[in-house]
Parts: sequence; C-alpha cells; structure tokens
Amino acid sequence: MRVKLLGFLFLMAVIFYCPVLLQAQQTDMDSLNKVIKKYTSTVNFEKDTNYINTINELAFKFSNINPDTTILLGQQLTALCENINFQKGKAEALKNMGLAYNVKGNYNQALSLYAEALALCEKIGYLKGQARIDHNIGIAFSNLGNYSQALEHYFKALKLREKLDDKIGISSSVNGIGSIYFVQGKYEDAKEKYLRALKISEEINYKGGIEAGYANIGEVYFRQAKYAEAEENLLKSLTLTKQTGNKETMCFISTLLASVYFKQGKNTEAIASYLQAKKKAAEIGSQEYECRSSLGLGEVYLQLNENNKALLYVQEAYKTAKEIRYKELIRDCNEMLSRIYEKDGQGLPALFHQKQFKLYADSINNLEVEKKAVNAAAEYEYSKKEILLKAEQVKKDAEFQKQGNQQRWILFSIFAALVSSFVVIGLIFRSRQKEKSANRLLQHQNEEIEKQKAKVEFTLNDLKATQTQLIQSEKMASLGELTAGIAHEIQNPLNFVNNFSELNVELVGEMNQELKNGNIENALALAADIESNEQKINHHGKRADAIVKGMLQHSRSSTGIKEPTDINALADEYLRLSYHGLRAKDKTFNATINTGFDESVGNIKIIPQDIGRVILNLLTNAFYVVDEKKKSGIADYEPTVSVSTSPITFPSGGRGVEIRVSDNGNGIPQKVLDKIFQPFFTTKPTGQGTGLGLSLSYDIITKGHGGELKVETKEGNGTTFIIILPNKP
Amino acid sequence: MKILVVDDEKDIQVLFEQRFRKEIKSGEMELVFAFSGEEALVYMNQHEHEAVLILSDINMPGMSGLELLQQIKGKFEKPPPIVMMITAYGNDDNYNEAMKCGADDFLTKPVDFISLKAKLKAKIV
Repeated sequence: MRVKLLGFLFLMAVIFYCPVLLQAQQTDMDSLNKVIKKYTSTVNFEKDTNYINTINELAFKFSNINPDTTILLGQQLTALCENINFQKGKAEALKNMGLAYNVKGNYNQALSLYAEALALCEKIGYLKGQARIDHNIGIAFSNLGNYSQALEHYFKALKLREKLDDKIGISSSVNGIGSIYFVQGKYEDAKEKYLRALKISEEINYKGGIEAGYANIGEVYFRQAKYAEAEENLLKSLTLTKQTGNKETMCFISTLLASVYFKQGKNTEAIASYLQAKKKAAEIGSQEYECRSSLGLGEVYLQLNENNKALLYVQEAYKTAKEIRYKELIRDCNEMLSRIYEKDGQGLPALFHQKQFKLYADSINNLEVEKKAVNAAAEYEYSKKEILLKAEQVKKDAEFQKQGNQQRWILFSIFAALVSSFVVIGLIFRSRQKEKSANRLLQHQNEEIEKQKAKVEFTLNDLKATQTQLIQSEKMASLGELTAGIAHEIQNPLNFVNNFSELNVELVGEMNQELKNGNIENALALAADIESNEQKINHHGKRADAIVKGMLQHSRSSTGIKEPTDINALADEYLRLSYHGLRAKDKTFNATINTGFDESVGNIKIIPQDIGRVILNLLTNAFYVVDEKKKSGIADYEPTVSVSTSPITFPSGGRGVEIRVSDNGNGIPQKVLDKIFQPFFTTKPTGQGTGLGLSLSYDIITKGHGGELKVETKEGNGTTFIIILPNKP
Repeated sequence: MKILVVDDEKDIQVLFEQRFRKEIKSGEMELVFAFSGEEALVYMNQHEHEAVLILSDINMPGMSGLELLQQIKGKFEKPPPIVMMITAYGNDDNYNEAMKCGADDFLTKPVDFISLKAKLKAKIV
C-alpha cells in the first residue's frame, strides 16, 4: 500500500512538473495541483471518496488530451477503490481507462475495460455511469466496424439518458447514432441526427457538443462534395476546439479541412492544415492521424510534382500504417507509393506497390463483404427487437391511460389494441419481408465471397511469379557486377595453364635431346622443371575451375541444402571477385583491403551460394560507398574495406560465426537507417541499384539461416554490417 | 637488355624465367621482378635507367598498372623506358586508357610468348 501510494504521489509530481503539460493544460493542471495540496495534507486522504471522485473527473478530462496520463491515473485509482471497496469510483476509473485506450486506437482493450465497468454499474444500479459506458461501447464498436452492435448500445444509452433527462448525454448519443448512419452512407439521415444533436447542445450551450456537431455536419458535406459548406462548418468547429482544447477533434478537423482545401485546389492551405494535424497527432500519440496527415501531405506534394517530398511523407505514413496494422491505410499508402514511383519512371517499385495495393484492396473487400453479411443478419435481429420494444411501449401507454379514465380506457384500449395489433401484424409482415431479402442478400454475398476468393488466389500466384522474377533480376544484376572480376580471375590462371603446358612440350623435347646425348644430369634437371610446371598447371586449372563453379552457383537457384562450408575461403573468394570486378570496370577505383580471417572458425553448415550472395552484396555496397567518399575530394582520405570472421558462442551454449564487413565511407544517415532492409530502397542513383540487395540478404540470413544481420554506423565515419550465423548440426 | 616484369601473380617469375631461358643464358636478356606497382617504383628509383623495358600487369591491388605507367612516363623522361601493358581484362576501354597514358604496347593474358618475343625484338632493335 505504501509503495502504491508513493508511486501515485510520484505520478502526480511528474504530471505536475512536466513543462509541456503545464503549458498545454494549465487549467486542468492547476485543478490537479489544488486537489493534491488539499487532500494530501489530510490524514488517510487515499480513503476519501471525494478525493477519488475529483481525480476521476480530472482523469476523464485528460483522456482526450493526454490518454497515457488517464491510464496511469486509472490504474492507481482502481487500486485505491479496491482497498476501500468503492465500486462506483472503480467503475468510473475503468471507464476513463477505456476512453483513453479508445483514443489510442486499442479498441479491444477499451471494450474489455468498458465491460468490467458496465457490470459494476449494473450491480450497484448506477444509471448515469451505465448510460455513459453504453455510449462509449457504441463508439468502440463503431470504430471496429460493428455497426449493429454500435447502434444497439447508442440506443440503450439514449434511452437511459432520456430517462435521466441528461441533455448533454442525449445530444452525444444522437450524434453517435448519426455517425453510424454516416458510415453506412445514409448522409441525409446522418445530417438530420447531427442537426438535432447540435440544436440540443446549442440550447444548453454545451461547447463539446457544438464542436462535434459542426465537425460532423462538415464531414457530411465533404462526402456530398459540397466543399464550401464543409469548409464553413469545419472552421466553426475548429474555432471551438481552440477553446475546449480537444486535440483529438482538432486533429480530425485539421485533417478533414486539409482534404477539403485539397479538393478545392488550395494546396498551400492544405499543406498547412495537414502539418497542424500531424503535430497534434504526435502530441496525443495518435499514430492513425499521424499516418493520415503524412499520406495527405504526400498526395498534395505529388500533385505539386514534388516527388521527393511526396515519397518521404508517404514512406513515413506507410511505416506507421504497418506498425499499427491498419489495412485501409496500408492499402492507401501502397496506392500512393505506386503513383509516385510511376510518375518518377521507376517501373519495378511502382509495379510492386500496385500489386500490394491490389492485394490489400481485395483483402479489405472480402472482409467488408463478410462484415455486410454478418451485419445484415444482425440488423434483422435488431429489427425484431425493435418491434417487441415498440409493442411493449404501446402496452405501457395503454396502462397509463387506464389509470386516468376508466371509460376512455375501455374505448382507447380497444382502439390501442387494434392499432397495436395492426402495427404488430404490419411489422411482422415487414420483418418477414426483410428476412427473405436478407436471405437473398446472404446468398448473393456468398457468391461474391467465392468470386473474391478466386480473384485473390489469382493475384497471389501472380505476385509470387513477380517475386521470383524480381529475385532473378537481382541475381543477374549482381552477376553483372562480377563479370569483370570473373574474366580477370579466369584469364590469370589460364595464362599459366597455357604457357606452362607449351613450355613443358618444349622442355620434354630438350630433355629427350639431353638423354640422346647422354647428359643424364641435364635431363634430370629438366624433368624436375617439367614436374614443377605440371603442378602449377594443375593448381591454376583448379583455380579456374573453382571460379566457374562459383559463378554457376551464384546464378542458379538456391539448392536450399546446407553443407559444411569454409567461410573464410568463401569470403575471400567473393572479396577478390568483387574487388577485381570493380577495378576492371573503373580504372580510377582503388581501396585498401584488410582481412582478418580467424582460422578457428572452421566449416559452418550453410547454403554457400546464398551466403556468398550476401557477402557479395555487402562488399559491393562497401566498395561503392568508399569510392563515392573518395570522389567527393576529402583530403588524405584512404578508402578502406575490411572483412573479418570470428567464432562466437551464443548465450544458449550454441556455437556460430560472426562475419563483419566494414567500410570507412560516410555512414548511413539515421533517417534512412530503418529503411535499408526494405525492398526497393536504394540511395544509389536511378539505374545503379535494384534496391533488393540488402532486402534479399536480410531474408537469406534471418529466414534462410536463422541468423542475424545487423548494422552499426556512424555518420561520416563508416558502416559495419555484421552477419551472425549459428552452426546448426 | 634489362626487363622489369611487374605482376601480383607470383608464378609469373618462374614462367618468364623459363620462357626466356635461352635469352637469359645467352646474356641477351636480364629479368627483374616486382610484385606490385609500389615495389616497381621503388626499384626504378633505386636503379634509374637500368631497366629499358617494363612489362606490367594492369589489375593489381594498391597501385594499378596504369598509375605506375603514368608515374614512370612522367618521372623517367630521358629516355623514358618502354612500357608494355599486360592485362587479363583486355577490353577496348582498357586498351584506350593504356594508350592514352603513354603505353608502348598492349598485350592480353594468356600471353602469347612467340608474339611477345617478336615485339620485344622490334621495340629494342
């Protein structure tokens, strides 16, 4: 308990003294400060429910602007409430944490916390809490795309709030219902609900509701391509967010407003608005909106023909989308990347991203078709419930009338019974019609799912074929790098094989002559030369043979079979090939080579042609970067590339080898460091690199050999790539 | 006639000594060997104007044959030694580059010693 309390006070101190938060949320911080000062000076303040309620209220305020603070406060409050069995406080704390997780995009975690909170509220009959949580569950389900569940919970919340005459709550739930109609594409219905909610909020001057109302109406106009109306409503909402300090809404509105500006051709305003949204998203830790704003910026810059800027923003968005596994955003990023590369004339990456886009689009379509089928069934269930609720309401109204006037009751009840019977019959008839139509829809959608499945399978096969083609192109490109080296390495041994064999023919002739003349001693000396020359012929013949075999191994598909291989010999062979290849192609190229091959490494079980390819890639890159640095004209610069091997022992006791390829080039800038293993990423000028070398190398080491490929770099000083390979029996 | 043979392949020494064994025996030819461009320059500095002919490989670690060629032609002017380049990668680019740097001839590996002998005689005579 003592520890918990200390932790809690520490948290308070952190929040209180954090300068960023102090500037941003001064009012709330002041309140928090006052609460702490007021309560911590009293005995047993942590058992005081007023204290817990006050902190809960503040945690609620923080949920939008600083969700992590809300989660931390919630965890501490839950523990305090459990200690004193304060269930209402605990329910509030759980609900606030759920809200915070919802803001962070972790909807499942949010739903789990809401369920726990809702159960507590129901248990203690806390209706206001129950309504709030039902509403929040509606939001979470809506975010998850489960609209029938979302509507059910919004309606539950609305019913409770009407019972409690909670105007703010009513406005909020009506807005929620409108939002569901909106995502279902029923824009006029949505606008009607939004306007109703806005009216209620304006009546009671509820700023949060007015802000949301204008934003929602603006979004409807945007979807209806009424951009001037959209801009007007969004600007009204944005002005209010500056008063309420609601960064999430600010983020949403700025992104939407930027899209409106973009559609209107106001690119400067669009960029400014996206940048503002990006900044706010970073402040509240919303990766989704960071991604959306970066993607938007990419689109604007593409329109402005600033491809480099567009590429940077979209690559950033793509990375974030993959991190948060947001399929729709990954799809959109791929589409945008494909457009950028296409405009840039880079066919291969454009094709790759186009295929990725198609793959994600098909996958999303499939999910949507399935989702629609499930929702249609759920909607049918929901309409049945609605009929029963309405029938119940009619019955209750009739009972009420009975208490008022006995005579009128008889007449009215007959009339009501008749009306309700007609209504029920009508509704049942309608529900049957709906059932039939839902069945037809389901059948149609099943057929659609099958079609989509076949399409996805076809695309997948197509993609696999493209991948194989790309890998082959990369192999051929690296073989091209080697050609000059191979020529050098073969012609040299051939020089000895040809000349020593010709020489031996001459020497045999001379030896015969000496024998005929009886000069045995001279004949023996010549025989020794012949023997020595034969050994040289044999040695150089084998040398040429190894080069040819290596070349064939490199060009053919990997056997996938691991075999004991002398790593030092393999590294040395590729070092010579790549060095001589570059020297032969570029006369001005030169570099100092350092080797440090540890003989104790011995043989390691690997796929030699694959590891050879990796070493070649790393060496080619190393030679390229030192040459580039040399060409930049740095005085006294000595281009140096080092290759070394050493045995290693893993913490598990297993043994392996570490291969290091180092250069003293310019190093890899931090901003591109996390992209270097991505396919098609290259810093070389167009046409000089496929951008697949490091990506394939990474796959060969990690997936093919269960090893690691690491990079250590220092800008301006150089880079070391470290291959770690386990020696598995 | 003293010939400096420059090549990073160590077996080149045995090959040249055996191929020119008759010329060496008759005193018509003397061979010295260097196994890198740097080593060749050291020799030339220490034995100025001794070697009248240099046979150099192009592709060597460190100083390349072409760099050596440029330095020799620039440094030992009166009279400059004859420099013949020998390379395992005899494409047009290499040939043009060598000629531009002042090479007197250009041979490719595997070396045809009959033709080499004829060229040597022609250059020297």
